[in-house]
Parts: sequence; structure tokens; C-alpha cells
Amino acid sequence: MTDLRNLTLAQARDGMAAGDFTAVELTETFIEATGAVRDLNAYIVETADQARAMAAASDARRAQGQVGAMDGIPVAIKDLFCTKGVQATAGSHILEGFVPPYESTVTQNLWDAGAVMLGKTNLDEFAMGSSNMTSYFGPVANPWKRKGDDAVLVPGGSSGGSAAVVAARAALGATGTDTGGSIRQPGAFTGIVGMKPTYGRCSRWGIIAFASSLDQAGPMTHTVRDSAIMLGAMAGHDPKDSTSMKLDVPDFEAALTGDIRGLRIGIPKEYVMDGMPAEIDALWKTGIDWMRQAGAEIVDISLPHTKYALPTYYIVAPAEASSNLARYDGVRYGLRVDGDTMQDMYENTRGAGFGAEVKRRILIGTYVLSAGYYDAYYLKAQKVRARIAGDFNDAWEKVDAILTPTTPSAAFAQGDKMDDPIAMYLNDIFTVPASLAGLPGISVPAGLSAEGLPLGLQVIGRPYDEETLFRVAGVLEDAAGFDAKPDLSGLGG
Amino acid sequence: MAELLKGQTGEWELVIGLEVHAQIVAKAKLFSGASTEFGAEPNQQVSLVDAGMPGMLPVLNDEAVRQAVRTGLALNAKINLHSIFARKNFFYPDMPQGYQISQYELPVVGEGEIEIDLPDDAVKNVRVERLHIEQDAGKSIHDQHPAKSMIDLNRSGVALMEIVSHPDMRSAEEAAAYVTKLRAILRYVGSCDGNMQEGSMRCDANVSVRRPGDELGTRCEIKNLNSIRFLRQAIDFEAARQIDVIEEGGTITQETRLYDSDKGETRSMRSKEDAHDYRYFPDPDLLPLDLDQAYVDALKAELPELPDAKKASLRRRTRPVAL
Repeated sequence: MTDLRNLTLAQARDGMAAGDFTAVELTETFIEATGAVRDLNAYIVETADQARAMAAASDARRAQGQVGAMDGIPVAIKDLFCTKGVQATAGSHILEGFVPPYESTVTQNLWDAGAVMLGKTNLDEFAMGSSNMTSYFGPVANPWKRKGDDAVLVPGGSSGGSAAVVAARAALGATGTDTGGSIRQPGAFTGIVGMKPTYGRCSRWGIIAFASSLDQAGPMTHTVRDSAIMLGAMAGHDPKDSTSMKLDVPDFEAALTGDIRGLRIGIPKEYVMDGMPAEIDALWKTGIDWMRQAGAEIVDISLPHTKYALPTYYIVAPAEASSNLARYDGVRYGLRVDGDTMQDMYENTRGAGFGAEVKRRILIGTYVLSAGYYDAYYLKAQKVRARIAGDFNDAWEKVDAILTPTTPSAAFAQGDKMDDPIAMYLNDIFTVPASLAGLPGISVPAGLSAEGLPLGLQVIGRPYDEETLFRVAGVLEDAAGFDAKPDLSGLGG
Repeated sequence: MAELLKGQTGEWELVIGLEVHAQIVAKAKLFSGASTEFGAEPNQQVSLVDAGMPGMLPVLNDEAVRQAVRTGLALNAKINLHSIFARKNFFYPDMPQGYQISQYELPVVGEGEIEIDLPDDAVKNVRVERLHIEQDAGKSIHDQHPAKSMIDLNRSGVALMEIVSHPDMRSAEEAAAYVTKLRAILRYVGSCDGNMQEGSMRCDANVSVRRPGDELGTRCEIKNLNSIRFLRQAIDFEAARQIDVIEEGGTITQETRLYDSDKGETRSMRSKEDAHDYRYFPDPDLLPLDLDQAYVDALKAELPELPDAKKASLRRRTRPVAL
């Protein structure tokens, strides 16, 4: 059965359609794989029994000829999604033991499409991080290692658990959420496809909020085709989310024509960063060549406010987070640490319940919204955010998609950058601008670093034009022909 | 004209502005589908949104907006076609989100005016500064357990209009007349039942005193007055207190005070230094509220006859006819 583990989501779908294997067989393979990679600490909760029941139900549906787009496909769910009857923690002590009596819209859409849940994956606490080191439930290991070096690397974050289980071939796909790069960066670090759709494409209802104006769910998969299939199942207008867009979900898979002749691909000069490793720059240039060889027109563009994106993000996102996380007060659910007074109870609960990075961001966010500082920080950041979005609007006059590196480096070791929050925040330097502008972005594995680690290239698209995004990404994927795999032989369960 | 108050050292003018919280008549809460009926068992009318569960999102109840706009029209107020919902951040156990969704910089209704009726057929115009829509909090109950407080979230998320007057009133009588007229207008419009006993209409009074002709004095805000009688008593007590403090050489510190109806006095609740920094910012879960002029015009055309118009038409009808 080991070869089932090496299938793509699309191959598994087609294999079940052809009657080569059942959803139950496929799911058992991945339950076994889940056990085999337990050393990665990628799951907070495994739901094997639920997976078996869902797989059996899928086979029964198939026998009746009623098959959804993801029927029988075992997937992992980032533990930021509320799942009915299954613990949802956001990677935080403050929500440990919280079992939601409701199902997020995105996960419900997946179950309605027939998908099978393997478990809830580990993440940076409240999705705040780029390394998965901030989880209360411990760090996640990247299945990849440097050549000749046994150091345990981070899978990126915040969707690190989701990235790790897909990269380790312990799930055919996983949900992530991306606020400033939390799908694309771990996608790049683990050699998988990480896709953030346009803000408003997927419902945020039932996803534990980090920064409401930025948070967006997306798929993490082996291939661009898998990504298109999975996004199709996740997306759609939701009347319960006022910021969800009233748009039909196109057939994203049908957009993968392999033909980008005549498309104009923008190369933003501001994404050349001082001190960027030469191999990142070289990979980017290679990617540009691939695009050109495929018949696309390469256009040099300028996104002049790019350098302000990271500082802007680190005002807007913490501001919203400081308010969104106020509800974790010990009164109704989750952790409560008693105290002599109500004030003591709040302080004890939040002091014990939140980790250092979450506290740092609540402090920053509270500060930038405070009387006397609001105009200088929050309001100014909103104005800069509008300029950043304006840069992209100008660019869409000239180009159909934009190609950049996903990250300024390959995966780093667990523990690195932990004493320097700014160095950690720089991980998201190429992903944050599209987040602030609400644009879709996708990271495609495109090559290996000198140390043998995967590197990604990012395609950014027009709002709600995920079809062009997938089309370009598909061509990029074909040209890169990335088929390296992590060595899983050292893992145990 | 409102008479001046006599102190030990001369005359004082009383200055009053009122903030009225009026519960909007609507079947559902402001941002959730939960029911709003009064008197249900505790915590029986609470949706996941009202309880501030993780991942829950607000969806605006159009009926609450309609009622607020109708009320604004009845107050001859400017309707702002573009308004914004903002979060007012503070911790309180009966406020599950850790913030109240309200309107701050851009309220749905701007400047308006209420004509209040005074003795001897005198009338006076009191300017309304704004009307905005916001969520109500739940209720903390402190008398059911020696050490614990109980929380009832039935009221959490119920739609309120906050109607803020300018400091145009000069006596407790005028303040009472303002609330009486406002309540009549709300009842005519049908946007609030005006029932102060059930808490569906509550009033905060900003009270200050000054020497006639002087700049405005430092004000104190008296919170949660739930009857017109208490409003008058609280204002009169507070005015006398402030005059005493100043005449004895003290200064008034800006603060929030509570009216104790048993003792008939106001007492300090928190000083300005302890005041919350609410850190208002636009709620990213909600889009700006954009209304069409046509929508507003249609609501205006459907408004029932209002108290002043009714009175005027009655006067016309009863005017002696010259034969």
C-alpha cells in the first residue's frame, strides 16, 4: 500500500474513480503514515476513528454514484479551524480543551465535498509566527534536513504542521491560513504548493481570528492541480462572513491549460533585497527564463511602497489581534486561572494562557491603537496599506501576474532567530505585500538550495483571478520539474 | 427660561447634555440572529456570536439600520449615507467579545433637533449631536452567590441607538422634557418601546455648573438613569453638590458617577484618570455601512405623523375660524 502514499490528490481522486482502491484503503494508508511521522509533532489531535468513519461513508456514497470533488481524500486541518466535536486550540494553552460545538464554513465545505479528516495540525500560537516555534504544543519539525547535517529544521509557519504532514506524505492536502505568509512561507520551506486565495474568496466564519482584515484560508498540497481542486472545495460566498465575496467559484482545475503564451509577467525591482542569498536570486532569474520560454512576456515593474509593507503589517495585524484576542478572558471557555478579584482572574488567565510572541503582539497592537498614538501608527499604517494596494493596481495595468521569490532563505534550524523577532519577521518580506493588498498568491517549489533544501517561487495575481494564478503556477511547476523528496527514513512514530 | 440656581456666593447656571440609549425594536439582535424578547430565562437567547465564541463573525441586521435611519429622520437629522462600525475595546465579564461594536467617527445619523415642551406652552429646541448604532452588553448578577457573579447574556448584542444631545439643557425640568419628547418620538416611529423600567431606554446625564456667561464648567457623567424621576433627582443632587464643592474652594474633577436612588445621591464610580482608553478602530469584520439616498427617501415618505406635527395639525383644526 505504500505507493498510495506517494499519490497526488488528483491521482488519488482518479484512482478511486477508476475503482483501483477505496477511500477506506486510502485512509488507512494515511492513518498509518500519520503514525509513522509522529516524530514531526505535526498534529495536535489525530482523528483516526473519525477518518475511518468518513472514509466508509465516502465509499458508500460512491457506491450510490454520489461523489463530491474531494470524495474520500484524506486531509489535515490546521488547528485554527473550529471543528465540531473536535478540540480547537489555535496552538494556545488558553484554548486547550476547547471543543467547538460548530464547524467552520471552510471545513464544512470540505466535508460536503467528501473529504476525510485525519486530524488537527500544529501551528504557531494564534497563527503568529514563521517557524512553528511559538506553539504551546511544541515545535513542528520540517521533514527536510540539510545535506550532511542532522539539525532539526523548522517547517515555517504559521501553518507548519499542515506543511509538514503534506511534505512527509502523511496527508494528500491540508488547510492552512495565511495572514502575512503563513501558507506560502511554510509551503516554500517544505517543498509543497501553498496557496493563499484573494481575501474574501474563502469564508472566515469558524476560523479563530488573528487579524481579520488579512486572514484567509487556503490549500497546501503536493501540486498546483491539487491546489486548484482543493481550493474549489473550500471556497465560496458565505452569508455568515460579511467580508466574503459574492462570487461563484470557477472550475479552477480547468484553468490549468499549460498555456501562458502572451501573458505578461511582472518582475518587481523592489523585491531585490540587500543581503538576499545569491541562490534565491539565481532561482528567481531561472523562473523568469522559464516564463519567457513558455511564451510569456516579461515586464519589469515597480511596486515602490514595498519597503513599507513589513512595518505596516506589524502595525495592522497586531492592532487587530489585540482586539480579536480580548475574548480569551477566562469567563466562558478555555483556560481560567482564578484570582482574588475579577481583574486578577483576567491577568492570571491571560498571563498563563498566552505565550511570549502572542503577548508581544497584543502589547504592540494595544500601543498602536492607544489614544495619542493611533494617528501616528494605526491610521498612518492604513494609509500606507492603501498605497501598497495602489502599487499593485497600477501594476495590473501592465501585467497579468507577478513572479517573485517566496522567502529570502531556505528553512532554518529550530531555535534560530528566536532571540530576534525582527529577523523572524523578515521571513515574510516577500509575502506580506500581497496580503496587505488582499491579493491571491501561490508558492510553487522550484528548486533546491546548495544545502539541499527546497526553495519556492511566488506568483501573485489580480484580485479574484485565481484562474490565471493557477495557470501561471502550473507552467512554473512543469518547468521546474521539482521532484525531490525529503528523506523520511529517520522518522519514527 | 430656566431659572438660575442660587448658591452661597451667587448664581449658577446648570448645563446638561444627555446620552440616551434606546433599544431598537427588532426581532433579532444587531449582529446575530438571536431573539430579543424581554424576560426569557437567563442565557436562553444567546447565539454563538453573542457569546463571543472563537471564529464567530457579526452580520449586520438591516432592520436595526432601518429603525435608526427612521429615528434620525424623525429628529430632523442628517442621515450619513456612509458610516462605519468601530470596536470599542474594554474588558468586562458580561461583554463576551472584549469589545463593543459601536460607531465612533462616522455615525449613521448626524446633527438633528428636538423641540421640547415646557410649562406655559413654552418650547425650546435642543440640538442632537448624533445618533449611532451599537451593541448592548449582557448583565452581571451579583446577588445569587456570596463570592461569585452570574452572567446573563440574553441582552448581549441587542441593538441600541445612542442618541447624544448637545449641552443645551439648563434645568432638570428641561432634561425631563427632552427625555419625555424623545421617548414620544421613538414610540411614534416605533423604533423603541421607550420602556425605562425594563431598561429598553436608559439615560446618562452630563452635568456641569458655571457662572452665567462663563465657559462650560467641568462635567460629571451620571450613568444609567432608568426613570425620568431619577434623572431629575440625580441632576438636582449633582448640581447642588458641584456648587457646594466649588463654593467651598474645591474643583470639580471629571468623573463618572452613579446615582443611588435609595439614598438620593450620586457617588463617584471612576475618575478620568481611571477612564478606559477604548482604542476605537474600524471593525475589520464589517464593511462600511453605505446607504442609498433613495432608501432614505423611501423611509422618510413612510414615516408616521410625529408628535409635533400632530400637535400642530390639532391646533390648526381647533383654531377659531373667522366667519
